[in-house]
Amino acid sequence: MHHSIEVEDLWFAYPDGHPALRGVSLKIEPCEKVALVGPNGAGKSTLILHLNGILTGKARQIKAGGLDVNRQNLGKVRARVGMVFQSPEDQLFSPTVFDDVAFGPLYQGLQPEEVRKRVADALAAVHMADYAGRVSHHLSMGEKKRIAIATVLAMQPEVLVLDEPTAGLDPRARRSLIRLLGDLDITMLVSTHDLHMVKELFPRMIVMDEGCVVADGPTRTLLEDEALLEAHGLEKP
Amino acid sequence: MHVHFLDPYRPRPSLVHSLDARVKFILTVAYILTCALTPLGAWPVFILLFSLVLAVEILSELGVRYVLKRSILAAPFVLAALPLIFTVPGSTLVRLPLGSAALNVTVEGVERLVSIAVKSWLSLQAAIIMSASMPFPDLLLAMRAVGMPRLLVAIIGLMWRYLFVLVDEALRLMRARAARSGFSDQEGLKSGGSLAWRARVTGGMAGSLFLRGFERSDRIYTAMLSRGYDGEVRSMPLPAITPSAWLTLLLGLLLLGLLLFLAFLL
Repeated sequence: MHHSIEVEDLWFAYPDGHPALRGVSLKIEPCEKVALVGPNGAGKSTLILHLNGILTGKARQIKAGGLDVNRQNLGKVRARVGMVFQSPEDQLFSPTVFDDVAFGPLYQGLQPEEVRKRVADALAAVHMADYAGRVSHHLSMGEKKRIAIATVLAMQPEVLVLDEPTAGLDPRARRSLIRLLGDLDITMLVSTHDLHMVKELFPRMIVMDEGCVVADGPTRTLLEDEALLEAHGLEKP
Repeated sequence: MHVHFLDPYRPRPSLVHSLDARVKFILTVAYILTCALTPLGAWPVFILLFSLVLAVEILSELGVRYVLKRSILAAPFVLAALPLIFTVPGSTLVRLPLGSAALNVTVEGVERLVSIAVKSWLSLQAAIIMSASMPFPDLLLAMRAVGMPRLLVAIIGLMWRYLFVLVDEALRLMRARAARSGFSDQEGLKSGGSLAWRARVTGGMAGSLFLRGFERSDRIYTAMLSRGYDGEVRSMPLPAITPSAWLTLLLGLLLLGLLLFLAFLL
C-alpha cells in the first residue's frame, strides 16, 4: 500500500525570488484526514499547488496517489488528487452546474452514460442532486462551495485537497460544509484558518510558518500547546 | 500568484529616467509626430531620427537589445500595408503573373511600404523607451498635465489598475481547469475531449470572466460613489517643471523641428 501523499524536502521560490517553501516534508496515509494550518503567507497554498504539479519546485521526492508528480504523470496525478480551490468562482467556469461537474470526467474521455452517472453521484454526495441544471453564477456561496467539491468528486480522486473551505461562509453554510467533509470517506488534506473545524474534524494537524513545517502531530496535543500557537499566529479555539 | 511581467516599467538610474515625466511624454509624442510627418522616402532624415532614438536608448541604460526586441511587435502591423506595393501606381519593379492577369510590384509602392514600416518601427521604439523609463502613474500625470480630458485619463488609469486583476483572475480560472484535466486509469480512453468541446469550455470561461468583470465594475463604482464620487475626477495639483527640464523640452522640440524642416527641404 502506498502513501496518499509523500513530500520530501521540497523547496520553492516564486519568480521574483521570494522563497515560499524551504525544505517541506510530510507523509499522509490513505484515509487520513489532515489539517494544514499557519498564518497567511506561510506557504500552505504553495505547498498544495505542488501536489498536482501546478507548481514545480525542487524536491527529493513528491508522490501523490502513489505516482511521482512529474511531467509524464501529470494527467494521472491530476485525476488522483482532487483539488478544491479557495474561490469557487475560479473552479466553476461552465454555464451550468452539470457542465462544471462533468468537465473532469469528460476530459478523461469517459462514455456519456458513465459521465452522467458520475455527475449524479457527485452531486448526491454533496446533497445537491437537484442543482444539475442550475446556472453556477446564481448560486449562494455555500452552494458554490459544495458544487466545487462535487466537480472534483466526479473525478473519483484518491485524495481530496481543499484550500480554505470554510472561508466566507455564514455559520449555517459552514456547519453543513463541516458535516459534509466529515461524511466524505476519502483521504483529505485541508488548508485552513478555522481551528474550530480542525478540532472537530481532523485528528492530525500540520503547522506551517515561513515555508517550513514547524509542527506535525495529533490535533488534540498541538491545540493544547499555547506557546506554539502563539508563536505562529494562531489562536486556541 | 500575481502577474508582474506585464508592467513595462524598468527602473534604472539613468538621465532619461530622471527626466520629468511631462517632458518625456511631450517629446515622445513630438517624436512620433515628426516620424509621421516626414515625407516618404526621406531616407537621410529617417537615419537621423533612428540615430536620435538610438542615442536615447543608450542613455536610458535599458539596453538597445531590450528595446529592439520589443519593437519587433510592430512587424505584424506592417503586413496591413503590404498590399501597397501592388496598388500604388508607378514604374514596375517585378511582374507577378497570376493566370491571365498580373500583379505589378512598383518602385513607388515599395518605397511607401518601407517608409511606413520604418516610421512605425521608430515610433514604437520611442513609445517603448517612454513606457519603460517611467512608472505608469507618472504617465497618467503627464497626460493630465498636457490637457488630455480628465475622464479619459481616469479611464486609462482604471484600465491599468484592473488589467492585472483581470489577468490574475483568468490565470486562476486556467489553473482550476488544469487541476481537473486528468487522465483516467482506465485503458484505451482518449483524454482531452474533442476540439469543439474544449472550445465550448473556453467560451464558457471567457463568458464568466466577462460577467465577473461586469459585476466588479459595478462594485467599484459603488465604492467610488460611497466615497463621494460625483462624476468629476479631481486630483492633486502638479509640481512645477524645473528650468533644466524646460531646457531639455525646448532643445528636444527644436531638434525635432529642425529634422522635419530638413525632411521637407530634401
